[in-house]
Amino acid sequence: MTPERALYLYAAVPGDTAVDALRGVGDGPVEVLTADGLGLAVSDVATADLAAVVAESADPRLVGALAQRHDAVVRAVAASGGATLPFRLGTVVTDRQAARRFLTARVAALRAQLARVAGCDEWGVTVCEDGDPHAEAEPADASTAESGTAYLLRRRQHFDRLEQRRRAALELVAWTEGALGETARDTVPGKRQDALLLDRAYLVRRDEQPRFVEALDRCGDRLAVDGLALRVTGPWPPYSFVDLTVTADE
Amino acid sequence: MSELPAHGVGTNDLVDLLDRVIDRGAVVVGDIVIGLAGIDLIRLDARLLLAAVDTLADGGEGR
Repeated sequence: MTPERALYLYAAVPGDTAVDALRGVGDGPVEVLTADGLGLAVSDVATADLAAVVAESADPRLVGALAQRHDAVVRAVAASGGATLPFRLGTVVTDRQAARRFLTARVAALRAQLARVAGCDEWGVTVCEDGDPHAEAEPADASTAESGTAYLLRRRQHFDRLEQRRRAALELVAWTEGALGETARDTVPGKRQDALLLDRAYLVRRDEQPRFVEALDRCGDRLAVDGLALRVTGPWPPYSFVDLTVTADE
Repeated sequence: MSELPAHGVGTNDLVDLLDRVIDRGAVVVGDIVIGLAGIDLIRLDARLLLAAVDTLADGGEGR
């Protein structure tokens, strides 16, 4: 049976993290539960409120609103404390005891991961083709004025140029990855790495941010010359740099 | 935040946010979690939402 109330989890934090008056999902006050020197930013929620968001007939904008509140709390917690390990949207546990059990069962892993993200933000970077300033139409069908040989030659040249451009793009992307990776503490591939020329998340120390941003600008300018678009999102809490899975029988 | 890069910052904020908070972050499975099916439904709904927003974002660019 589903209980009426539950604890919504926003982030794992160091145990000395204090949050100012902050309202969470469903407007409940956010607090930090502690155990073993670690903390969990949580708020009390009505399970019916969460069920309403995920009901089949629910307005999809409710998911967006939930995500924005979740992100706002994670950011506020990060701003008031130090390292922050965000939970995935919609993570709830039954009660405080379960929340504390979560902490005590993985003290070493949480400490190691908090140390990794301390003082860092996440940046999302993608590269894709941006229209194409040098685009040329594929050769039209052979006109009567052109011999078949001339047509085939022209067509061959066209595809050679395409191949050259593709190689140049891959080289530029590799150069970009090198330049960004040099300044970042860590990086992981994004979900669209297969569909785009580049999709990665970078973990960047805040004191390295000016250098990272400078590298982004330099790479973006160079990519644009070749008709490639660099797109940047961030800074984010380190959503992509949390590696924790909880299983049933703890 | 200061010194944001010039290239395409701040577009599609909600899509980028959902991208991050839905599939990433600490994942909890098992019996200390209630409404696990609900979490999966959130993911499903968000994919539909993402598809809809993507369609809107791509409209008119003719690609």
